[in-house]
This record gives sequence, structure tokens and C-alpha cells, in this order.
Amino acid sequence: MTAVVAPKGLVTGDDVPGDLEVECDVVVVGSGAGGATTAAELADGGLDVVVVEEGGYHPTASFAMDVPRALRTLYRDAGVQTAFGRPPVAFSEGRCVGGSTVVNGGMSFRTPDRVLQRWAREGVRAITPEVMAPYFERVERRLSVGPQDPESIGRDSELFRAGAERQGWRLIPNTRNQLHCCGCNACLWGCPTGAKRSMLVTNVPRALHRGARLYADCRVERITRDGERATGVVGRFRRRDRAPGPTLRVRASVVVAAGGAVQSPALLRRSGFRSASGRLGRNLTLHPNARVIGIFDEPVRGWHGVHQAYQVREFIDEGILLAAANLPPALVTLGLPHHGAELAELMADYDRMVIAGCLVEDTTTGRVRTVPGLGPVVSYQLDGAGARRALRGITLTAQTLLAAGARRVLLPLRGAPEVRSPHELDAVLAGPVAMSDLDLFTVHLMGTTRMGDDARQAVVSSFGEFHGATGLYVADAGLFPGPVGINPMETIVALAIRNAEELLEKWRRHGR
Amino acid sequence: MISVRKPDHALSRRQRRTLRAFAGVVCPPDPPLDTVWTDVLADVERFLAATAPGTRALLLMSFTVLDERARLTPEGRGRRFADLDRFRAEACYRRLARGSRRTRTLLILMKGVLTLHYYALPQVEEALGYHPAAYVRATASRRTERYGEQIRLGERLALGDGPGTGP
Repeated sequence: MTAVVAPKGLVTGDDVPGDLEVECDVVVVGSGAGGATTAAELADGGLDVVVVEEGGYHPTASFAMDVPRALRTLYRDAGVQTAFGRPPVAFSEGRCVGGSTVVNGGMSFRTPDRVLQRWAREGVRAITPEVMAPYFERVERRLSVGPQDPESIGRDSELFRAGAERQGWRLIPNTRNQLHCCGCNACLWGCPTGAKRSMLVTNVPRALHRGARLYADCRVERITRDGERATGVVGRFRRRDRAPGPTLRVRASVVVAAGGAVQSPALLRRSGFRSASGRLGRNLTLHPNARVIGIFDEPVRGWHGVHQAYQVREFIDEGILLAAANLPPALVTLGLPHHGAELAELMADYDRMVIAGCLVEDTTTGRVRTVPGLGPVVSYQLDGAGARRALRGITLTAQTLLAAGARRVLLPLRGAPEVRSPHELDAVLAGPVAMSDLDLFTVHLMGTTRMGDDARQAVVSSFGEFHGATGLYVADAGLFPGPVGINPMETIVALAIRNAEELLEKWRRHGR
Repeated sequence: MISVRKPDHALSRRQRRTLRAFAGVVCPPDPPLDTVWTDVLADVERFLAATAPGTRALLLMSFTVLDERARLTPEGRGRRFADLDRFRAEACYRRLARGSRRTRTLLILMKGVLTLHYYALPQVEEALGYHPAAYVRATASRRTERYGEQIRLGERLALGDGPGTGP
């Protein structure tokens, strides 16, 4: 294996010979959308910043279309995580330098005005569309957010678009954080060209460029404290062979937890922080997703073209988004009931498949608990309204595929037969569908450290500072008071810039 | 005597036999080469080592239960799943897949672990007409030729070195 040369300021687990103690102004736990952005903004503002990342450093040159390797190296727990409930909801989080932005689809949308207005009504200060607009502009400029070049859009997306247009449904071209993405459909395994402007190639190098230090392969075990004041973190490095390595102690005036909506509340809890609101780890929303596969007569070659090019926004007011998003063969097989020869027969049509799906806005909330020996345990019980919404999303996705000309459609409903026409679809859905037969997954986890000025309702302030503690902040999707209803990355980055600005202002006023 | 340290989380011989038998049922019956099973099992072993301890324990226990559960089925007649011929193993799998919702869910999860790694093998992908590496090379090279200057500008912008990078 070729040794990876890390950029200046980035230290990996294999580089550290023994226990390490460092001091800085701010330590940021996590290097994803929230963590890397916070680190870059604070380093830009002249603070001495240390970032601690549990995952490894994997540069663009190391990315290949090797799904199992990517699952093992870029995802937490090999991409196999579950929110327990009936039905369970499978979920994945990135765990590498750059966090989930390295393995997401790269969709970048502003938070809808109606969501910002709702959050303002729910007690978040300075969150109106007018206040947020300049932050979105900064995100979009720095991450090169824009529409795809036409030559990068694949046949699967065009078929899906045609199906939606035949129904007269409103559809938008996706805006993505990409710099002339060539549409090689490798977003979920690490962009091999660097066209996707993940944190790995934007705010992480930006932070390092401004003098920040980043320790990779180091899991933060706890935040240290002096009474209610956060004073730093203690972590342990992991060697490449997974053996536990030396410890890292960081002393800092400010600690920023940015490990995502599952890991951050778990870290805060195991460090002894409690919220008077009783909501630390609660209020979890996750945008349940369901996947529908359409098989066409014509060759589609869904892997020739960007991962996702359009979204059907016709049903956004109902809390439903639809899109086509190709997956490699290995992942298509997951969740399918077929096996053996039947599976082989189905997969022989891989090049004729359009893989599409729906994302639905939550109607209920779940919870992250910490269980000794197991770590964070996520539970989420879909309610009746959520199940109806998911089923409607599945129906609309299937209708789009059939309108586009699919001759067979596979539904994410356990035990449901394939459908070949709108009539057959109606027949399948006419009968009762058990909630537990829905096959759901997600990659959007939000809300477990919700922001707001009222300490009785919210875990952190409107700018991410933990209520009841000093020098402790959160900077990830856990901040969201409720589901954002669209892909959340741009919201996380914009909030991180806004909150970092406030933190810097406070630092200048009070000397820390 | 030279002792070779067993890697952490290595599968036991029995677990390997069960997984191999299970793979023979859930994966397509005519793999491109017989040696694929060695590759699949090696990849599954690495994958399981990367999962959370609870997930790994659940999956491995499920395979063990499946192996033993087969003894109680008419197809197994007292024999473990790993000891059944392919025909009987297939029938046994089908019987178990008709069981409770929980059993079906678990079987789909177990099956997914095997088929994920089977369908990620380069020779299997190739047989499906899926060969992304060449496509990535071609499109990446086209991207650089067509947009090289704009790409360099965008990269500088992200680092805060280009024009228009102020707050």
C-alpha cells in the first residue's frame, strides 16, 4: 500500500509516536460540514484551532469505485447503522476527514423560507431568510454551488424528468456543490476527481491553510470540564491496524462538538453535560427515504451521469421530494427479497434500471440514547401520518417511473409484487400496507441538540452555545429545531458560518 | 515454532463454512469463476470487522442460528445448514424465508452482506456491463480539458486565495 502524504497541519494516527498534549483557542470535534466550516471560519478570524476527527484521511487520489472498501474506510460502522423502530430505518454517516460531505450526493439547496420562518417562530433568533441570505451566498461562492453542466446528466435522470413532466409535475434542476462535475456517479464513494466540493477539498484545506491543526484517526472520548466550563477534550488515536494508539489531550478555551446529530449528543452525555430542556438526544428527525426501482426496455446506463440531477418539487408542501439517484449493482441488491437465480435474472437488467426514491419530511421524532458498551443507540418510531406520507411518496415515485416507460417497477414494500402498470400499482396499494413492511433508509439525521433562546425548550442557544455550560458549542445538523425537508448540507454550512461569526465577535469582546 | 497471530475479528472455520453455504444459496448459482467465493468471504470478513460490535455480533449469531435451525427443518433432518447439499439448502432457505416477519428481515440483512460483496467483485460487475473505472477516467479527462482554467479558479476560491473570497 502506498503511504498517504498528509498536508501540512494534518496528523494521522500512524504519525503519532506517543501520548500528545496540545493547547489551542478552540477545539472542534469532527471535520464534516459543520466542523470543517467552523474551523475554517475561526482560523480565518485569527484563532488557534485544533480539529479532531475520528475517521481517517483519504485524499481524492485514493478514491476508486470500490464499494466495500469505501464502506469500510469512509463510513461509520461500514455504513450499517439502524434507527430501531417498526419499521427500522437504516442509516449511514460518513467517518473520515471531511465527514459525510465526502460521501453525500452533493446536493446544495438553501433552507426553504417556510422552514426558516418556522424556526424563527419556534424561538431561534436571527434566522429569517433575509438574515441568512448573505451566509448562503458565501457558502455557494466558496463551494461552487451551481447547476450541472448538461453533458454530465445521465439517461436515468432524463427518463425520470420525462416521467414527471408527463404528469405535469414541477421539477427543478439540482444545484450542487461541484466544480464542473463530470457526472461519473461516484459521489457516495469519494469523488475521484475532486469536482464535488466536499469539506475534504474546501474548508479542511482552508482551515489548514490558515494554521489550524487536524488530528485524524482520533476518537474523542470525552469533553473535559471544570464545573460547567468546557476545558478541552481527551481522545484516543487508532492505528491503521485498528489497534488503540496513544491518547490526545487538547486544552482549549472553547469546545465545538460537530460530530453529527447522533455522535454529538452522545459525546455531550458521556461528558456529563445535561440540558435543562431534557431534550439532549431527543427531537431526532431523519427524513425517511424509500427506494423504487424501474426497469426499462431501453438501455439506461444510469451510472453514466451525475448521481442525482433533478428533484420533483410538486409535492414539497406535502413534505415529499422525488428524485432518481443511481447506485452501483452491489447496493441495488440490498433490501431486495430476490436471491440466487432470481436475483441473477433481475440483476442482468442492471443497465436498464432507473433507481429512484422519495424523501419525506418527518411527522414525528426519535431519540439518541447512550448505552454503555454499545455507544449511541438510535430509536425512531414512524407514526401513522409519516407512514401515509412515505407510502404516498413511494406511489408518486412509482407513477413517475411508469409514466417514463418502465415496464417493471419494484416497490420498497415487503412482500409486494412487482407492478407493470398504473392499474397494477393501484391494485397493490388498494390493500392494507403494514407500517412494518415499509423498507426505509436515510442519510439525513437532525435535531438532537436543537437551537433556541429558551433554555427550557432548546439544548443550545440560537448561535449554538450549550445552555448551562460555558465555552461549549454545537455545530452540526443537531441544531435544527425540526426537519429541513430538503438536503441539509447547505443549511449546516451556512449556520456554521453564522455561528462562528458570533463566536468570534464574543471572543473579541470578552477575550475568549 | 512460528506462531501466526490471527487477525482481530477473523471468522472461525465454522462461520466460514456457514457463510460459504449461505452464499451458495443467496448469490447467483453460476459465478464467473469458482474462486469468487474466496474473494467474497475475504471481503465479508473485512466488512464485518468494520461494523459496530453489536451489529457484528448480531450478524454472526444470526448465521449460527440459521446453521443450527436447519437441523429442525424437514430439509435438514438433523443436519446443519452448512452440511446440506445446494438443493436442500435452497429449500431450507425458502422455508425459513416464509417464516415470521422478523426472520424474513434478518434473512434479507444476512443475504445483503453476501450479495453486496458478490456484486462488488470486478469480474461480476464486468459481466453486468458495469465498468465505472474506465468511464471515470474518460469523463475526468474531458472535464480537465474543457474546464481546466475555471477549475483552478474555483479551487483557489475555496482556499480563500482567489478574487471574491471575502466575507
